[in-house]
Amino acid sequence: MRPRLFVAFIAVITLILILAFNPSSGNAQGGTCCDVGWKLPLPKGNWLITQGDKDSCVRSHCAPTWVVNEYALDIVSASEKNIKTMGAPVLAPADGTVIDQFWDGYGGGNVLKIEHGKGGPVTLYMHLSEYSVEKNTVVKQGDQVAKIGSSGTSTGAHLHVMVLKSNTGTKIGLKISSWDGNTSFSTRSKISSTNGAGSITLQEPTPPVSEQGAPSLSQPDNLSFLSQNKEITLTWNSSANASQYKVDLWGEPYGTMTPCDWQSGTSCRIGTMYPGTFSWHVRARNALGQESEWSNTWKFTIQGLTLTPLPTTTKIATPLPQFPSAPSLREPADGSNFSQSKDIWFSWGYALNADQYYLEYWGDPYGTLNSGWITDVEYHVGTMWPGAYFWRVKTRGQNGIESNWSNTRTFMITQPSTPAPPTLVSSTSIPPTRVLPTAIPSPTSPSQPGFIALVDDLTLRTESGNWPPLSGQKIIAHIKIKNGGGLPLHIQHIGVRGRRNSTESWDIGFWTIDLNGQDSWSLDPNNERPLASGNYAFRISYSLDGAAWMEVGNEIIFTVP
Amino acid sequence: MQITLREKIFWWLCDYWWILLSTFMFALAAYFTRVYWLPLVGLESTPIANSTPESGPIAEFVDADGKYSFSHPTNWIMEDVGNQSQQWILPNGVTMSVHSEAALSSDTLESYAQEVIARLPYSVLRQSAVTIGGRPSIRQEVAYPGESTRVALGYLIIYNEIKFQIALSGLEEIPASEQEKFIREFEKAMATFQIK
Repeated sequence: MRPRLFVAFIAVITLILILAFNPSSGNAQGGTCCDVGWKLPLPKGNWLITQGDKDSCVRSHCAPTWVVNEYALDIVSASEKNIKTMGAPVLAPADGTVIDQFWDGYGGGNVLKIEHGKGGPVTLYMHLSEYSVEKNTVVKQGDQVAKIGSSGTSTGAHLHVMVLKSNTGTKIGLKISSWDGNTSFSTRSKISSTNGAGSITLQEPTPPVSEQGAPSLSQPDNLSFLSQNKEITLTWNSSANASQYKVDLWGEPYGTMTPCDWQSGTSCRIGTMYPGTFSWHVRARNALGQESEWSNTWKFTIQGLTLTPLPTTTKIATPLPQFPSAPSLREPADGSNFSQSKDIWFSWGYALNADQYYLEYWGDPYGTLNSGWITDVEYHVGTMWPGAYFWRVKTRGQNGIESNWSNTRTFMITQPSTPAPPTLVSSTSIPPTRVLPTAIPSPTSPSQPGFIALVDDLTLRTESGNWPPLSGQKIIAHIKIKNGGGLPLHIQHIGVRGRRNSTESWDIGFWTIDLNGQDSWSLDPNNERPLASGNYAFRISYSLDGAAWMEVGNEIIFTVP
Repeated sequence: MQITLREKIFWWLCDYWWILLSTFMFALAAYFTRVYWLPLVGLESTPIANSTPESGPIAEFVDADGKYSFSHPTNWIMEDVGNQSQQWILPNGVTMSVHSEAALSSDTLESYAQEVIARLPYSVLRQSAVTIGGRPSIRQEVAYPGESTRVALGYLIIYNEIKFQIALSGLEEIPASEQEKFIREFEKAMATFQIK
């Protein structure tokens, strides 16, 4: 066979296979439903289709290739007076077995499946409020299997029902052409159910007999006025036999919320709130699960902060700043171990009320480095030298408010068999393919890569040995550094940089040194001017041949009286 | 004899028709497998990179059994939907839910991730290992089978013999720009999620 004929043959076979196995391409739906003596899975009465079969349907009902839901129906009661949709029973449309009931967090909420005959068609129901039978229960036509609800992605109580050809493979949906004497299943069609006659009685939801007394409210007082900067905590008196309480709070701009949902305490902290009038009530539940009625409803009003009294109006302050929270750390995992070739990314989760994030990581041979304030929740470092490292993140919110530090994590970079550790290598022994760490400050000249490592972090003392120093005394700083890798290393400036009262520069001393050929270098600079009273903070700073100033090591803070 | 243009085209087709057919087949195969390779070449929406925090009051939710807690904007309206599930209705009908159930000793994060998409089924657009509240977790973004539009995302955690599914669903019904806003809020809430 000539090559081009062979190619053509393969192409035709491919086309046939695609048409045969692509479920959305035509004949794969496998038939129609449900004119086989089935009844609608609903109590006797009239029902309304709110999302129908193929016309005017929403995406989850007629996504062109989502075979599962291609023929799904959304059904509600045609008259809420006669049958209330929420809580109405879902009935088995035919004999079968409940083969599955599960939570679908991706949209379906509480889901139940009935298989009608071994390997036969399966009816599937979504958004249920509760199940009435256990999994693997054998059911007869008309038996109640669940109740209609609004769980999952749902705008209100309804039954989402569809029929699968079987529960295996791609779970192909069957087109519903006739069911319980109904033949139109388009949106806004009315359908009638004859299911459950004689064996099922309509079960209007009946409130449980309440033997649990409702709690009485305590604070804030009913109809009270509160300032916008007040921390609001709702409190109530405990109710006899009650073990848990639920609080509803509503009012613009919040809508309705449940700030405390079946908790054991008798108070519920809300925090500061926007101006407005709010209502709240509480109900109790005892150990048997019996719920009380709602308590009386109380109201309170949050008033905006008055900045400047004006003759005709008042000025409302902007909403109170929210304190940012510390983020939760993601990668690297705590205690993880990487090889030296690992490309290191730090990542953490978004934190509440946070605008910016500040990563700090430290460990030999780098000292302490940071990302600066960034808006991303990840930071790329690159490859790192072997050692044990620690890292943490803090956040900054609006108005510059900073969070506490997150917890601190550690990870290890392990050394490959070759090459030798950074402190031992010579410039000629670095393999040509070796990637230098990117965590260090980049020198301006590619011919002079390198970074310093701390041997002794900054320590401060006074000549007479007293601490903290007194006004008029001088201080002596000690640091010891070594070449962290990448010889030769020329440090244009290194010294101890400080601040007095956060703003006034108060440096101790700076030197230019060359670490080429030196294993380490100790510096003991003297503070040349007497200290004045105030708050001081000092830290090691250095610059490699004109590169940006870097700070390493711990910051020492003290107060001179 | 002079060869006309029509004859040239005809002869070209006779010689090279199989190239045209092969190209057509390749395009057809690429179309039907787009859900698998489109994400690989980055031709769809990427995860959020920058966060602009939506300001507003925050409420803390602690589950009645004390299994978990997290903070969320107070305009998320909570509904108890039974069967060890809670859900919060966000504006525009987007739904966040937390479901917990007992884990079997044979359950692993990977088998749980397979289980939650296989029962209906969904297809996974992206899946990655992350940490939530200090616990190992799998993050999924899912679509309807055969599609590349993200309809939901969720985190799966197994801890202390309990399986958790924390999900944000209903994304397909809102514009992409709105999706990012809700996903940001969801991720912020997840940043506070703690399992007891």
